[in-house]
Amino acid sequence: MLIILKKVFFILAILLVNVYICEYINNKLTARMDLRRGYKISGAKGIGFPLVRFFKYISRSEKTNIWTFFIFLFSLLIWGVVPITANLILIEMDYSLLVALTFYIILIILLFFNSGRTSYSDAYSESGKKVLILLSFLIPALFSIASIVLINKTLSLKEIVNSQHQYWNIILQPLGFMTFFISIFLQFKLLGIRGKSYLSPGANIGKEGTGLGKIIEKFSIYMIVFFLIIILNILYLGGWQGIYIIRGEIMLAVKFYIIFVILLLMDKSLGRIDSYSMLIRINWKFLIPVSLVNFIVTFGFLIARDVYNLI
Amino acid sequence: MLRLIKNFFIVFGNIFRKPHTIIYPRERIIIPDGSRGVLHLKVDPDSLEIICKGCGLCKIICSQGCITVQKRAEDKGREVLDEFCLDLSKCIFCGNCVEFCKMNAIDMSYKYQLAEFDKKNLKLEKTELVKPSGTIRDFW
Repeated sequence: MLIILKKVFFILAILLVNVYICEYINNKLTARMDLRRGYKISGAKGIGFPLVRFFKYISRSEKTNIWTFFIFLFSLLIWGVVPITANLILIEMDYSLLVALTFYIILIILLFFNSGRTSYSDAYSESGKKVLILLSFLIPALFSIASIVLINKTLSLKEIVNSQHQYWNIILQPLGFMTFFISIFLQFKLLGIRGKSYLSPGANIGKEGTGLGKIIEKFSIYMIVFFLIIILNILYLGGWQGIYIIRGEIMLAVKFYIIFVILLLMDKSLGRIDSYSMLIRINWKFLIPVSLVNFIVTFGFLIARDVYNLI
Repeated sequence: MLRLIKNFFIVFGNIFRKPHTIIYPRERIIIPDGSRGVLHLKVDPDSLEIICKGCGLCKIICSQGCITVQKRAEDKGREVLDEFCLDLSKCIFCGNCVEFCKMNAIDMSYKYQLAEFDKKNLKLEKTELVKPSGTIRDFW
């Protein structure tokens, strides 16, 4: 029991520290990309900025609703099955990948219910469309994941990492990695970590969503992004596998922040999304066919090798 | 796609460039040339008299109606400026008055820090507008 509590404490501490660092990097880097200086009044180089923002939102309103509570719950529950490092996992199971993906889909659906609660009558239909687009980006990601599962013959995230001790899956599945990464990026873009979330339907949602609810929403969006980056790391980039004398945990942190910064840079360089038809086009005309072809090729290769012994 | 790649490198390069914004008032920049501050009544350097004769063209042209001008006739029928009042709370610093003045008697100074606690202080009289103190182009 004590070990589990210790693990829970460590996981929460790691998540909170990373949310703080990522919020700071997000603010500072986004400002520098705009040739601005960024937030600077809160201590040296604006280090206290996330804390100031936290108290600012808290001071506005402490009211929450049932959806934000569930979002908070699921954004933490997801880390019960996703291993951050080899030892930092609460529940070890053989099908952790499936459970994690289920939690992720539930989280997105809960975000839809949360973002739709406005005084506008058509708010649900509008945010519903965006959530459906967001969920449709899961299709190429699922095809890519299926290819990885076929190669490694396991649904356990820990075993997937362990099977990459010789070479990372990115070498075996470059196409899968590309589609998975683009799908992550577009999900990142729609979640709107840099500013107002695209899931928010009306112009007044910023006012209506301030307070504790807004903090929880932001926290859950960070959790989703962390989950996506960690899953990308685990599936393609060797997870917590160390290189030479560098410890695996350090390698994971380095890879995590590199991917986060690349996602921020790409988010900024794409600009604001005005037409959702472009996203739908990218998804259905490029990502899904490419990932499907990748899956079929992998499947065919494995059948030829294992069943018919051709290769 | 090519535009996205190009933008990516521009945005990446921006991280290492010097920011354009400054922390005012700790850091300051030189006021840009041609900036429009508070109106200034010009004075003839020889006779040390105000050039403006109070024709009222600036009052007519002002879209905000923030200028009040009155003239009076001295002996020998010579017209001189009696009263010139500028309401800064209404002025939008468009510079139309300066452009339309036939006598070239007014210009825009570089004075820009205009915040006041009392609204009455925003009404500037002739004596205040004549002062040349704010016309020097200093650091913003």
